Amino acid sequence: MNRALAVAALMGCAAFGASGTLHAQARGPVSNESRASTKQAEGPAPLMDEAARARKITEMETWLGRLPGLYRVEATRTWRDSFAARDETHEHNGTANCSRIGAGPGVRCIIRLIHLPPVVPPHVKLSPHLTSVTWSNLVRPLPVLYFGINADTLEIQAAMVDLEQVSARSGMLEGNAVSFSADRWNICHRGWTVCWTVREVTAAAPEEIFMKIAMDAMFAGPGKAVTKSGHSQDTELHLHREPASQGKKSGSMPRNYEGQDWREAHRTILEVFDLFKSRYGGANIKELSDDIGREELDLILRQTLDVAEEMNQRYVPKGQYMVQTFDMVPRRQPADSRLHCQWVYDGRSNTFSVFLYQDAAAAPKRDMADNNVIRKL
Amino acid sequence: MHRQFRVLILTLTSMLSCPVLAAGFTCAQPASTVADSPKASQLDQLEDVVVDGSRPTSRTRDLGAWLKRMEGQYRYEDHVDLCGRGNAADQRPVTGDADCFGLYVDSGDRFPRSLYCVVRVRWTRVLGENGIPVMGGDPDLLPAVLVYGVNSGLPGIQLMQIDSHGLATQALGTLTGDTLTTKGSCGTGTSCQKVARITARSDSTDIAMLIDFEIGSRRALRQAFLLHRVSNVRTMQEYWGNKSDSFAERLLSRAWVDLQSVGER
Repeated sequence: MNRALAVAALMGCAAFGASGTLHAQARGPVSNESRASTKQAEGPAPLMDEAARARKITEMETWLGRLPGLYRVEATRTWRDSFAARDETHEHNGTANCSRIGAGPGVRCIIRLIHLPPVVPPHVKLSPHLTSVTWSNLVRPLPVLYFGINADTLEIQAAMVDLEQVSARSGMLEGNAVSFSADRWNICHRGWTVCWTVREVTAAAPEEIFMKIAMDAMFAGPGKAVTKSGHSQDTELHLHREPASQGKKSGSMPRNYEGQDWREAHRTILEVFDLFKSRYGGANIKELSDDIGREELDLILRQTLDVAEEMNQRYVPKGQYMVQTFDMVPRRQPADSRLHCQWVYDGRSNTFSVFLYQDAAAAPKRDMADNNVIRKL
Repeated sequence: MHRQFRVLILTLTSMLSCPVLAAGFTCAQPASTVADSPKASQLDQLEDVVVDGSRPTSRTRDLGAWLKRMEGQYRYEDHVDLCGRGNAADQRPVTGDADCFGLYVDSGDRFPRSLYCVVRVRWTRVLGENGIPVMGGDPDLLPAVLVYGVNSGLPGIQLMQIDSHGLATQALGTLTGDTLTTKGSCGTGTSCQKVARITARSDSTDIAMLIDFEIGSRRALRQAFLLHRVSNVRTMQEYWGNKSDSFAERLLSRAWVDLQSVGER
């Protein structure tokens, strides 16, 4: 059935409240009274005819459709060094997994950045007003991001879920970019520790996504150090789509892990192994074992991850730390790309990281030369 | 095994509903009414909440205490009423689950300021005559993200939802007794208004929800959900309770993993 017929049919069904499903709901009101009432309910909704409104909804759906996928992330975080009176910028790498919310155009993004200390230069002294918790805010993970369509205001709605609170912003899609501004939800409270704001998302093509996210520290204390932009911290994220991830259900890939719980790292690695075993004929651990069994891998993981922190402590008195890296690849690679799992224990930050990369077949290999490296602190 | 059984039932349900889809859905005549049941009476009590004489509260503490009752993992049951008139023939049973995670601003807080839920609610897809969509006939909470927030600048609890159709809606709710009543747009760009009544009692592990979609003064659709708590999950409050040492740092790291896994745990 063509869309015009469907809309006409819906209008005919208005007596039964038939406003339809995804597209029918999103692409047009079922009666002429809708615009006036929408303005009252939602504020300044633009006056548009039905066709223009439907086009706008379609544009937003198309734009959101560019987001799902697995990405390699290059990020810069800028924050104010109040002692040196200048903005400090640090670069991070990471991964992003953006997936659809069900069958519709809504999207959830989980972005994980690797924080390599020192995030703060050694000459910077912590204010006594900064507790360890607020200190960790400077390097805290990015919130979970959600995007959807507000069909009343014809805006892209963003929500950011942090450990402490939810913030929200909305903005009109202009070209390939959405500049978000405060909506009625988003008021940063003084009682909050931090307030996140998504400022801009540009998705010109499915391969390249750009995001600007700001964080404001709301803790009480001496004057807040803010960057030139007026925020406590600015993060710019360049998301580069991993080849072959476009169009695939990104949620089907195992999660990456980054944190200080070796058991979580252990579990994640076994998830990746299970994927390799079920779909790609098994797994090889570089320098250790070809076609490794699950029990053997489990034992190796317990003998390395479980004791990594303890081993690292032996080097610390000498001003050194340990970096332990392992590479695992499937026995049979996909036709159009190359999977590579790498897990790392970094003694400097006492962090375990597990990443599953999906590289182009011709991309440089990721294998590390040595499993154990001792570095100077 | 239980999961496989549920899948089998859902598959059979879908197959049995095929003749209904072919014929097209129309609202039943008023004669067909819902049989009395304990569930029905529990949900029916929600109808009376707004007129029981209690006054809405705007105290942050009360609002947070109510949100805390919603923490946990739940199983959905009951029905959607595609015509909103209470006729059994118009109702479709639902199944599903919810995973709700409380967000705490500080370790000193006993109650969360926000609640983050991922829900999955299934019912058999229903189409009208000639395959025309019927309001509420296509499951739109499969999944959906719901966030509740206490905003000290506003008198109640804010609610935002992004559903599986990609539609984002916001509403403001007032808490009266154990029941939060929210009113907001249906998100369809029409004059439709969504009124939700959610009751979470301190002495119960069940949550009752009545969600009415109203066009003018007429109820066009009702979603009646009963949520049964199936497990408690670790809350942020427990993570915060151990802050200021390295152990706490690990727990916080774990907390982030938990946060990112909501709806998939």
